[in-house]
Amino acid sequence: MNWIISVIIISSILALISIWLEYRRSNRRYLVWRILACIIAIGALACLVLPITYQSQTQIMKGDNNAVLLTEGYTKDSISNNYKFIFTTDKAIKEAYPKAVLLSGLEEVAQHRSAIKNLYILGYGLSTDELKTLSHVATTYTAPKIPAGIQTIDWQGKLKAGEQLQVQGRFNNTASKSVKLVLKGLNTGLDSVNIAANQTADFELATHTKSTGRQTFNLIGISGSDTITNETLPFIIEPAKPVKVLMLSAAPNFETNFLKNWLSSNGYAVAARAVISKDKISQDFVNMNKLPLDRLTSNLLAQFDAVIGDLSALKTLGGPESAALKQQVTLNGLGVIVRADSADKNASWLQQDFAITTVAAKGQLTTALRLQNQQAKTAVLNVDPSYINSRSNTQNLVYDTQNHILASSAMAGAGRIAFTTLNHTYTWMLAGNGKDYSALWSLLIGKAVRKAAPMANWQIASATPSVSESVKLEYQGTALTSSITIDQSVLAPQQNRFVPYSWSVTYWPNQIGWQQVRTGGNTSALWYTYAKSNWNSLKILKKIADTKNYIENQPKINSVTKQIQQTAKVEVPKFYFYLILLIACSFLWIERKLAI
Amino acid sequence: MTEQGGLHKIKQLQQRWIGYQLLADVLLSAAIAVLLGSVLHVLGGWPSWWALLLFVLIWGALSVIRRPWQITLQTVCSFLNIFYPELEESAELILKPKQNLNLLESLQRSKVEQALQHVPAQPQQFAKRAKIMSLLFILAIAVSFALFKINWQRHTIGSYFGKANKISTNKNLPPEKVLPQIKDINVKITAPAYTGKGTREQDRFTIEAEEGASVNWQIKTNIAVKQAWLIFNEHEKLTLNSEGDHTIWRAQKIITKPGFYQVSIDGQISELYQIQVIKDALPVIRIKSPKQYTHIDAGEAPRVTINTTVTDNYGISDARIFATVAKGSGEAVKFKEYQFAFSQSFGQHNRQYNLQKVLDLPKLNMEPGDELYFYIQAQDNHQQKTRTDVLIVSIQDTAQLLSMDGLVAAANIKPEYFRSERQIILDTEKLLKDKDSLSTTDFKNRCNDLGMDQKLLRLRYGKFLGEEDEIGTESEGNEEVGKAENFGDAKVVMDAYTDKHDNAEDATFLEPTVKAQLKATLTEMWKAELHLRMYKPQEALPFEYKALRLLKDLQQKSRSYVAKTAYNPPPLKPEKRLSGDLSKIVQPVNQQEVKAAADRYANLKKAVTVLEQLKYTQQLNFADKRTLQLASQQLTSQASAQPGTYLPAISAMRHILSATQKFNPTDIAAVEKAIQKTLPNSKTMPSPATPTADMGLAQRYFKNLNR
Repeated sequence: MNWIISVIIISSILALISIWLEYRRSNRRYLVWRILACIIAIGALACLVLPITYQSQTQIMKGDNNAVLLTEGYTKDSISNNYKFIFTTDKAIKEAYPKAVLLSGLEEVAQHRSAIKNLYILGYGLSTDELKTLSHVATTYTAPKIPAGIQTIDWQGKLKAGEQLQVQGRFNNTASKSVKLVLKGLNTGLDSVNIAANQTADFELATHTKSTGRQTFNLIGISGSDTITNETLPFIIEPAKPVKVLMLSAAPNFETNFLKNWLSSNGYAVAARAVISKDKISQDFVNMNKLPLDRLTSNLLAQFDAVIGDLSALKTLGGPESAALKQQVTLNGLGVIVRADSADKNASWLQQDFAITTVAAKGQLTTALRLQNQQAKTAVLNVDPSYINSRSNTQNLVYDTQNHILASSAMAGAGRIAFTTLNHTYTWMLAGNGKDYSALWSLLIGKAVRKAAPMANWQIASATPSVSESVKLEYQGTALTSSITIDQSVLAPQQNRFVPYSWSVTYWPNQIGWQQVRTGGNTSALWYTYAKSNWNSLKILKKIADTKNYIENQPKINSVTKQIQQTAKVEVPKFYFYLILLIACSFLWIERKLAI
Repeated sequence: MTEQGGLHKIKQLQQRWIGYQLLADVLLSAAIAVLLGSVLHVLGGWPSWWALLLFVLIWGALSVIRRPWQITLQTVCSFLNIFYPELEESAELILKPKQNLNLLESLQRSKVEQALQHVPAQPQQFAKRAKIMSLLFILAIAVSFALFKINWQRHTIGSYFGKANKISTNKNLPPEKVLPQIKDINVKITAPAYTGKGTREQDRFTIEAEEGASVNWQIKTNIAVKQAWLIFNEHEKLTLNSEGDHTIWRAQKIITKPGFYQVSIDGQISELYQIQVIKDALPVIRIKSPKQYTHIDAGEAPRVTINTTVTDNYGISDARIFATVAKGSGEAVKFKEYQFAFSQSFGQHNRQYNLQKVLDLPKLNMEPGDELYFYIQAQDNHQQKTRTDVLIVSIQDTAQLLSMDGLVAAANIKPEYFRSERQIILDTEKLLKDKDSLSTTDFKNRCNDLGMDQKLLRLRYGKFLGEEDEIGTESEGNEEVGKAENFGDAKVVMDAYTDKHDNAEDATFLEPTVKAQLKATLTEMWKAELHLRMYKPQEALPFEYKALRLLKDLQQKSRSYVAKTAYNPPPLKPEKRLSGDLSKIVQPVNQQEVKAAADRYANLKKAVTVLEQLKYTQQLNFADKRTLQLASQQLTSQASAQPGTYLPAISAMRHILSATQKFNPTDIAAVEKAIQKTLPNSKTMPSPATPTADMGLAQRYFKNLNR
């Protein structure tokens, strides 16, 4: 303010002196004009020094400037000349496109918002967190071409020992060379697939794991001799948990005996009951204590996880026994595996979901089998031509080469029933083919067996938890009484408002690799933090999707109503004052020359 | 002035000439020396400085023979006279003292001196020989260069030449890390006698030796060492013995198993060195003839030609044929064994022999119906034997063919046809027997009749194949048509005058394989008929037999085969059976504990997890180290069997175990790779699914649904 006053004082003095000098001049020509010119010149000079602003609403109302925000992946061609502002927050983009204004943060865009009618985002877009800062600016987004690389990916994060690791996804190859995707584990190439040039193709890679515990495999994309992607696939292999099995048979047979031996030799607890004569049964117990098997009761069945029986044995169960079994299955989730050994029409509740078609004309057939979730066919087996009809409520487990169903499973209340017409699988064992035998029975028993007690369950809600990015972990289970720590930092869980047994925790990991979630000193979950460079194409796709989603759902920002309330000070351009000064001075100078 | 000038010029020419001659000699001797020297060096392995000596010798000899310094002024003058006619044969005048010249001579001399001015300082003839020699020299150098080039290539390919025992291939291998005390090593590998290889020496610890080779180590140390060992497979110690001043150490061992070893000097242990064993391969026998089953038909020469190749990687010491002759049939079978040697001798122990042997079956007392089983056995220098599969030669028993056994019993037969072919054979044999007692016309007639029979038979079989009937039934058809009641009957007329063949019903009457064989039978019958019609029953006989054999085979094929099936006993029906008193029968109850087999690879599996963590944390605690040590032991036992594959992993494991921080990712990768190779696939076992915790929500939902 002092500056303004002093300028005014100085220029007034200057004006008075020059007026007096003009007045004193002997040649009185154009006196009034000269005095006027002096005043104008000095006034203009003062205006050059002083900031002259004015409040203008009409000017602001007219603010229809388009701005553009360049993000990674933009193309130069898409920047037209009618953008008033070109922003970027990326140094690399600033270097590549010097016209752009480098901002230290997106908050700066908001500062310019008065002058921006619409902000166009070019390139791969912004993350959700970044987009939040743009909430007061009207934005438009045009998605770019989908970048090359992995588009989708999925694999089992948790495996049971012996299960196949299956990696499925989609790869976009924009190059003119084919790309070879290699699944690498323990520094050994395990499976690979070729993606042809200029093609987007689904791929599936599978391998049998050999170890247990946490492991990371790698998915490597090779084009020619260049490695174009190298992603980490973390997963945990859990050892198989032994289950308790009860076997019922109407007569001693090979199938039951082989199954019993196979299960018990692997440490499973097995009890077997077989009718050997009129009202006489034989009882076998392996790896467990003796139990009274002559009468099946609800309490007895509750001690087992699965019942394997031939259909004739299950049908001849007495009324109370059958009721106990039904109750255990439907209410307590006991699993039943039924071997259909007779074509007896006397229907049982175990049979109701599984209709059987028997091709009477044919004798036994020799065929290879195809198991669910297994690409390779098994060795050949003698099969009775009795096939299960497919229904909407059954899940088919085993097929023969002509796609006839030989085993299927269905829900029965809380439990599951697996039903099979295979009765001679022991011939595989006799032929020394333990692999197919294990695969088949693991599938059948695994499908039906009573589910294990639910455990405290941690899930990583973020798709690609990476270093220095927020990672959301979700916990489902009983309320946590002890503190949650990750890497020695205590975290506070937030309870879900709608699902009472769900909590979530946000954490910013600062190192790559396996992280432990500890509750009360015990490790309760393991999860993996990726390096920043991992899953780049997926992150880009997520950004594009997030940005699109944000644009679609952003509240309508009405530029007009907003701008009426804004009263901006507009500085008058100095150029005009220069012009006035020049004109006034020129008049004075010329007048002096002419006077002589 | 001119006088001196003339003389001077001639002397100058003389010097030039001598100079050029000397140069030519030098070049010639150099050329010879280079050529000889390189040949001796490359082929004979002589050192290259021999070339220099040769050069000096040859040059000396040449100089003595040619004596270029003896070129006199006189010779130069006569040379000039010959080549420069302007001197008018008077160049010698220059040499004569001026005062001895007469007037004419002095006039001539001044003329010559003038002419001499125009003689060039270097006549072309002087340099001619030197030029030729220099060309020769260049050629010699080129040839010797080529020789060296060829020699170098041969060395890199790695074949041996002459008696050069030092393995030159080792030069291309990466250098080994040796202990700092070791100044020099010499490993002498004496290959066992059966290989026929001699002793070779190498300056590397990594050993590749034949099975049973004796290896001698000689280690020179740069300082006196108290004690030194070789440690094999981490447990077997072999003490090195020193000589005198404790700087030369020796040891010897016979290598029979692959593995690895380390050198330990005063407690300091070197890195691991690999021992690879080249096993002696078994001899390989390839039989070119005869085939696995040889059937000698009646009429064929009862001879078997055995043609075989026997190869081994070091040498064959013997090969024999072991034969068994089976005579008789049923319970009266008798066996007799024979052994035959091949005519070639195996004294030279060559790597490959092509062997032939002809077995004359009648000499082995073999008769029709007998069978010969034989195999070939070969033995190599290392007393290893291999034998081939058994090959079978059988002689056709005609009596068996003609028997009626089987025909009577078989269900699906066409007896009359077979009897006919058999009858033809019997008739043919009878005809041959009676040939001497018959007149030519009779013989020919009977022969023709037999041919007729054979034709009829062929046509009857041809019907099965839908072939055209050659005999034709024209007359019969005409008779039918001629009948009054058939007048205007289109069917009958058509039947009589159309050519019916390729009947659709016939086409599917027989199976394709049976049809093919039947066709082959018909071909044989054709040939038999041909010879019978040419009155050559002797030659027709083999075809008749062959036709009969094919028919017999057809008959055998009609028998059916019952495949094996799995069988499950039906469940007992107590209401129908077992009605006796069972009250005193005790129900059997068994109980047993079966321990699941302990996982042999548990340590390796744990090590995988430790290594996985190590990649990120870069630190090992005590328990992790222990796990890795146990895994290392397991890998070590693997390495002693396959050092080539597992040795890098073991040394990588050592680096990991000895490092305190900064673990090398390549070490971890190497160990992981070895573990992956060792571990078997996990067994698939049933396992319950783990549901997500829902605090009984699903349970309550289900209960409410059921209400």
